[in-house]
Amino acid sequence: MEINKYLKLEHVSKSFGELNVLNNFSVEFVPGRLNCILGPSGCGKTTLLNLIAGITAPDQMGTNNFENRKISYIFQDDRLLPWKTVKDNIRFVLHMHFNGEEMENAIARYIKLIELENFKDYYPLQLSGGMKRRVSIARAFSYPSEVVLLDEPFKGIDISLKQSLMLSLRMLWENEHRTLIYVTHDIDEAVLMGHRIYVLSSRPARVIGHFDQFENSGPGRALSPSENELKEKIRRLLIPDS
Amino acid sequence: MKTSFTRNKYFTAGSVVFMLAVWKVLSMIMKSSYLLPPPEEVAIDLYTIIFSEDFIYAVSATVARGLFGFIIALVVAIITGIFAGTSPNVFSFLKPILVVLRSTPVIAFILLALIWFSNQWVPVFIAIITMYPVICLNVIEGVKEVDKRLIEMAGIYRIEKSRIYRELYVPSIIPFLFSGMSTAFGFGWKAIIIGEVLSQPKFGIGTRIEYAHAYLLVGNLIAWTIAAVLISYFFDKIIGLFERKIVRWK
Repeated sequence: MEINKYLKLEHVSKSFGELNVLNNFSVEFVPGRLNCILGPSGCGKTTLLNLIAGITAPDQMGTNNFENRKISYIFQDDRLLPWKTVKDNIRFVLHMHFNGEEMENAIARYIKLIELENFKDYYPLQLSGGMKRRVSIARAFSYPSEVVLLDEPFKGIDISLKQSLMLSLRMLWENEHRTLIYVTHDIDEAVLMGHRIYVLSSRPARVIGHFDQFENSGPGRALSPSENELKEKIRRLLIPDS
Repeated sequence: MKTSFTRNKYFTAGSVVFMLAVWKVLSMIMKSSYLLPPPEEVAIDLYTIIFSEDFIYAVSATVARGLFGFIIALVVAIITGIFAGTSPNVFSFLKPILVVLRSTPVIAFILLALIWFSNQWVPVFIAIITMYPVICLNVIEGVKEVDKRLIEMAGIYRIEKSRIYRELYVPSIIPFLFSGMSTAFGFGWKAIIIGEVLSQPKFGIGTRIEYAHAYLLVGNLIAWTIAAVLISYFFDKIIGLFERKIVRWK
C-alpha cells in the first residue's frame, strides 16, 4: 500500500467551549478498505466523522483529503424521511447523480441487496428498527460516494439482527470496495469487520495504535485465535489497567 | 378502541341534546318567539330556508368569499411562513405584523374595510386578515420543528436547496398547516359573516342574518346561524379528510 494513496486528515483541532476534543490530530485511512475506529465513549469519534463529512467546522485543519469528495453517512439514527417510502428515501439522494432509468435500476438493485423488495412501498413508521437501519445502509451505498462514514451503525441492535446487518454491510462493501470509515466501541465488531483498526485515546483523542488485517474475511463467524489475540491487544490499549 | 369510539359518540350526542334542552327551557322561560323561539320552531325555519331559492345564493356567495380569501391567505402564509421559519431576520420583521393582525379587534378591520372597499370585497378582505396570521404562525412553527438531523443528512448527500424546501420543509409543515387551516377556518367564517352583516353584499349568510335581525325574525336569524355553523363544521370535516389523505405516513 503506497503511503500517498492514503486518505489523510492532518493537524485537526476541535474544541466545544472548554472541551478539547481533538488537538492537532492526524490520521490516515486506507482507501477501498474498511477502516474501523475504536475508542472510549466521548473521545471524539463522532466529531471526527462529522469533521470528515463537513458537518462540523474544525478550529484548525492541515491536510484534508476528504474535501470535495462525495461522502455518504450512516448515522447512529436512521434519518429517513417519514413521508417517503423506502424506495423514495433512496431516490431522494440519487436525483442529482442518475438519470431516470439508471436511478430506478440502482434503487431496485439496492433494495434487493438489503432484502426489502416486499417493503419498498412502506413508510419508515411501518418498518422495524432493523429494516430502517437497512434502508439507511442502502441509501448510503446507492449514493455514488467514494467514502462511506458509519457512526456506530449497529448500536442498540440485538445480536442476531446485528450479525445479519454486518453481513449485509460486508456484502455491499465487497461489491464496490469503497472506503469505509466505521466508528464503533465494540472490539469484536471492529475485529470482525475492519481491515485496519485504529484505537483512539480518551479526550483529546489521538491514535494510540493501529492494526492491519487486510485478509479479514468479514463477519458471520467466530473469532480465530489470532483475532482473539488482536482483540486482547486492543483491549489492553483501551483499558491499560486490565 | 371501537367501544371507546362509540362511547365518545354517545357523549357528543348527549352534548347536542343538552344544548337543545337548555335552549328549550330558556325559550319556555322567555315565553316569546320574538325573544327566543323554541328549537322545533327554528327547525321549521331552518327547513324552510334550506329549501328556499335564496339559500343556495347566500351560502355559495359566503363560501366563495371564504374560499377566495382562504386561498390568498394560504399562499401568502406558506411563502412568508417558510421564509420566517428559516430566517431569524425575516421572522423578526414579520412577528410585529402578525401580532398586530392577531390582536387588533376584527371589528376595527371591518370598519376600515367598509371605508376602503366595495361591499363585495369587505368579507374577502376580512377573511384574508383573520386567516393569514393563524396559518402563517402554524407554518413558522412547522418549519421550526423540522428535524435538523434530516437537513444535515440532506446536506451531506448534496441535495439542492430547492429540493430541500420542496421535499423536506413542505412535508414537515403539512401537519401544522392542516392544524392552522382548521383553526383559521373556525375564525374565518365568523369574521366573514360579521363582515357580511356590516357590509351587506347582495348575497351572503351575513346579509340574511342582518335582514332577519332588522325584521325581528329571530327564528330565521337562528336558522341562518345554524346554517353557518353547519358550513363551518362541513369545512372542518373536509380539512380532516384531506389531512388523512395527504398525511399518509403517520
